[in-house]
Amino acid sequence: MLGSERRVVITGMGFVTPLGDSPDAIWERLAAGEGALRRIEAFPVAGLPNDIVAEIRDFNFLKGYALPKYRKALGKSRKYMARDIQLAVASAQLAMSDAGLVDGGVDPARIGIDLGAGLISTELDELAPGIAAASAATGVFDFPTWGRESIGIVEPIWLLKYLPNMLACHISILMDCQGPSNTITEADASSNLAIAEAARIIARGKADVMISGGADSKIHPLSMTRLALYQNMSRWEGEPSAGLRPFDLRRDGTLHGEGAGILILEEREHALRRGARIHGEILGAGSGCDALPEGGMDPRGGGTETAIKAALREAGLRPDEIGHVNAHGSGLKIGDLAEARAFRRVFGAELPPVTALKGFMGNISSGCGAVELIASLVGVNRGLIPPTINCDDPDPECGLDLVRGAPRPTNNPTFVNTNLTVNGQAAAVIARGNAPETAG
Amino acid sequence: MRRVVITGMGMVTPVGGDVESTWSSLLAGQSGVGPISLFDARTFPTRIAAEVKDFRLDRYLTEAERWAEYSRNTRFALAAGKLAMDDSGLLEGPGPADRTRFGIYLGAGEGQQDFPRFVKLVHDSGPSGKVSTEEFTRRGVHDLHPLREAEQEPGSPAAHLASAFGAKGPNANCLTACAASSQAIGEAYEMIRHGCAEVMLSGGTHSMIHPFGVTGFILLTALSTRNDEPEKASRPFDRDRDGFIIGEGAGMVVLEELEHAKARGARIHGEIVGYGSTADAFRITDSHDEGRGAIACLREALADAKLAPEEIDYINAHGTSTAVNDSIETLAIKSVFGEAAHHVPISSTKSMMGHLIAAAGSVEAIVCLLAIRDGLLPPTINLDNPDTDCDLDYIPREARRKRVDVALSNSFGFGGQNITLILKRYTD
Repeated sequence: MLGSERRVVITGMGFVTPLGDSPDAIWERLAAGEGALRRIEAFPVAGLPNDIVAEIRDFNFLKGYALPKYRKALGKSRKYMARDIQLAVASAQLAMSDAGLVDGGVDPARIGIDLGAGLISTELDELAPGIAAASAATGVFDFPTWGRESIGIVEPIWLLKYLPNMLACHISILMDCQGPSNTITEADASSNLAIAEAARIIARGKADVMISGGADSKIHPLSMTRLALYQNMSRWEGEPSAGLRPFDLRRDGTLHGEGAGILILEEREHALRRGARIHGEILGAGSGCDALPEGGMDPRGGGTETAIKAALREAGLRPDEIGHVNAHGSGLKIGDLAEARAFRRVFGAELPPVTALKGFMGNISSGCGAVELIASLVGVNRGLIPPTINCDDPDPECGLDLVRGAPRPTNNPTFVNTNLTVNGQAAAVIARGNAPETAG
Repeated sequence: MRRVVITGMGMVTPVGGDVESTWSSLLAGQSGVGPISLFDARTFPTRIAAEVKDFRLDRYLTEAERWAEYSRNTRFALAAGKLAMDDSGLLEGPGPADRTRFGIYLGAGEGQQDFPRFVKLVHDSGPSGKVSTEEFTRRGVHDLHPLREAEQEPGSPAAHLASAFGAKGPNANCLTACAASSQAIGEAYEMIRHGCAEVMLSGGTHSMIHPFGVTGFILLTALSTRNDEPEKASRPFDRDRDGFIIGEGAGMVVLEELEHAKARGARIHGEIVGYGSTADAFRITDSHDEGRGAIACLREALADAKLAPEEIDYINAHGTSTAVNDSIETLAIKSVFGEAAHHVPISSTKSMMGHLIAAAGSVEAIVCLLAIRDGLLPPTINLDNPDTDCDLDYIPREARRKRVDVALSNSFGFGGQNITLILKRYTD
């Protein structure tokens, strides 16, 4: 596994999602098929194909998530944190608490961070006064005025609030993580790539514990405008909760969600020595790309196929040993079809059940891989595969065995979690729940 | 353990449009810094930068027209990537044995905001200085340009290179500020070493010479304001240094598993033998005041390479020309190298190229390979009066001849990510 004797287990999970922030809370929603897509409340929008998103409406960074030992520091540093950063820092605290590592237990030089993060959009009102000042005279932006006056009215730390590596940096500072630190910024594939890299860092002996996963919030006027501009926003006109429809015949686009998912990955012996509770294990990972010369992804899904095959090889598993696939399933016409074709080629007659969770939580972009991996892990550790919602009429061209409506029992805790960007960049991670310990 | 060699190099920098022209400029001590021409910066507190001059993608690619509307980052990446791929010989004949084992790992920066459209949209939807989000979204779907927006995604260049060069394997982009492209090369090296790929095109691309980029660094008081003497503004380790100079460009390398390279008779520029990655875990703006993270990083890379400090023949420093970096980096080198710190020649090529931010490390790794190839060390220009706590041999002002078998490159990013790469002359 992972080309090493050193096995990598999951000893902590922390997440803040539109479905909740604890395993019981999200499982209750997943099992009941209760999604979180609603009309947006954070700010008014107009002129977009729709106004549906999956928001975290009651996120209170300090009151809800700051551990007593960090409260003072976070009270100060919060002003340097965009929402994506706050979601990640909150989830990291939940994960480290879950792992029992908040008060030590690992050498600071042997704990690192590897996160997926997105292109963070600046708060418009931080720049608007400066832009207004520079445009006041003639209605057209005037560079000399910006240079003379506007720069001075932008907050000094403006840039730092939006750098994608700041998710990892804030966590490393807060929790004294002096080991390797990396931030993957590859849109929807980011957190799966980060989890893969973090697991390999442990496997090759450069760290004993890694904080990994990802976070994103694209519930922002600019991010929503972009999704519409790319013609990728769902135009669903029915109930908001049904607006994102993975693998459904009537799917026509995706919708934004927000959230963070953080895993504590740990070298198995290290975890056993300190008596840690083990949620599961990372067995292998792979990545591939099928970007077309003319742009966009290849509808044949070669990137996803390459990614899953590489992950199986690294895990030392046969396709028939996979219990289920947690697909990207973002509701894009071509994207879902590309994935389905890849699954059929990789698994052939042994095609396992497939689920996709974006109907519940929207697309959490750079954080989706981590949140979805956690949801599958929570499921298999209850002997169940989480269901897909809003796939009322499965697209026959996709030809998948979708877990629809309600969880499906399983006694196989091994699954593949896959993600895919609009550019055809695919990442797959194979994990196994802690149900029946197998030899190895 | 599988060995990883470099079989291709390509770069586009403020001092040259390719590897050889950049190299001869660096050896001649030529500065690429001048007044900003990419936008009207005449009233900005810092109005100088190291720009890539007269960049034309059609000099590199026959299909340049297809990329005409793409970001500066993407076009720099394609140019440097094409140079590296040409240099590797992988574009001739059958190419990589298995295209699903040929991947891309970049440390590309975010693309530039589409400035004219964005500021107009913000103003139209909030002329008073407070934006109406309804107005913004209503206008935005018509007024913004889809491709210009998509090109701001830092992961896009990695997909473009994959399609341009047929890389179907692993694909990733990391963005750890000024450490990004060194980290990309380090992680790509680990991927090959541990069997995830046979060939990786890796490196970085970035331009922050745009109004918001320059504004952001001005606000952090990180930039030199020596506007009247642009060529003297980047002066690493000098007592009169006052901040860094933003550069732009791209550096790309083809990393290859040794046996794969030998089997196709590839020319080998050198071998990657050491990689260190640590975090300061200190502050978001400042390096650790005793260089804790940098020290651990240098040690880790040396341990990975199984080399003693005495065996390092040249250090290409991060050397940004900020007060803090150059002192702390010196402290870290002294702490790890001991007595040997006073014998190893060190230079900062940022004195000439400025700071290419995410792309800096990849360009500087190539400089190390060239030093090994030619036995020549590029200078630190403008080092007229070394700072009191910068008391090592920084190769001041003029290039130097010296045989180099092993070179080391440091990259330290905002937020405390530290990367060290060690490159070695290839021998069987």
